[in-house]
Amino acid sequence: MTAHTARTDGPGQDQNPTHQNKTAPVDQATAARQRWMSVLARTPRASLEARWAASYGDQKWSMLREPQIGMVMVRGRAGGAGQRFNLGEMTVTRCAVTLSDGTVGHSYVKGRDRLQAQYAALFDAIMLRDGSASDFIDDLAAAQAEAKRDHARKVAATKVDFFTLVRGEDE
Amino acid sequence: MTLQSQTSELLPGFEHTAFDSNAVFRVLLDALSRPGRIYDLPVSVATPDGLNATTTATLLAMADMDTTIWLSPSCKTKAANDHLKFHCGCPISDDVVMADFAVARMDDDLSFVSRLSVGNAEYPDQSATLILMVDEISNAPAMKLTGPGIKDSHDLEIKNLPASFHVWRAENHHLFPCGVDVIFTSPTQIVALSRTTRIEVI
Repeated sequence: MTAHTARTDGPGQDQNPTHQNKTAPVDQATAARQRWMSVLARTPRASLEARWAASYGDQKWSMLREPQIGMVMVRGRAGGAGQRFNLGEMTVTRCAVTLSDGTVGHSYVKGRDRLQAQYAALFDAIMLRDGSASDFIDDLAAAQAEAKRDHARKVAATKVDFFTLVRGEDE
Repeated sequence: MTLQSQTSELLPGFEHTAFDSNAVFRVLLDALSRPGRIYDLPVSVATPDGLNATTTATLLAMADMDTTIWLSPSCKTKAANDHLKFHCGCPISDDVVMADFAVARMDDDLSFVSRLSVGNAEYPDQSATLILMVDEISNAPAMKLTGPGIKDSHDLEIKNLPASFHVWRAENHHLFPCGVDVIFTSPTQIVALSRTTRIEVI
């Protein structure tokens, strides 16, 4: 797979659940799915694997699209508001699975861990089918938020303010 | 809360994407290099309504976001459409002029073939490839093929091939280096006619 930026005009692009225009109105169901997909994408493989084995180990499912590793172009805006520029490429793994009742789950995960992508897609399918993993997702989200706060605290403790002293020669 | 589960009729693509598409590509390459020789489909694939297994495998191996596919009205089912968009990410056009691959059944109205892209003198490779789904391919002596890739001559029979096809093929042959290549796909077999192949109806 070659790197490519996400196209908005291609007719095949509506399958891509990670591509959302920030300004477009997003309905509630989609927003909820975006939330759990992003939480799952950030969760390390070990916890997904353990939870799957414990709660859903007897589920029948099949691979719709085996995990594929590719690149996406990450775009940024200077200061969050400037011109859009290409920040760089990153590796992502995507996967699609289908449960025995036909529910399709997708995942797009950073890095090249195929199993992580597979389990993230499985949990997405479970959430779409009956939402029975929502407690698990909430726990993960809380843990991730906590880790983020921890990190932010550490960073904030080392914050340095830069300012220029008035030198007076402009007057 | 539950979302409406989507696209639940999606079928899996190749079982081993890399190896299977490689094997199918090899068969297509051989088939086009040796026109008229019949090849078996080397893999098994799930087949959506409207297409047959060989056509599905061919498109999965060949199509991607840079190739436009045109499906004849009888092939253009929702299942086929979804399958190709999901697994190949390819644009599917309603305009046959845009097509890199055109897919049709033998019993469809084949008048569209004259509108297929034949490439141009600088880029003859930009021509379309026609994929025709047929019931049966055999080496019975109905057509005698000669040309590059064929030692002496080769016999081929495609069931129910209309006479208008031969008229179009003869015109197509004169366009060389431009012209359309044709791939016939039965449910289990592939045979190709390159643009250089001369056909003599027996």
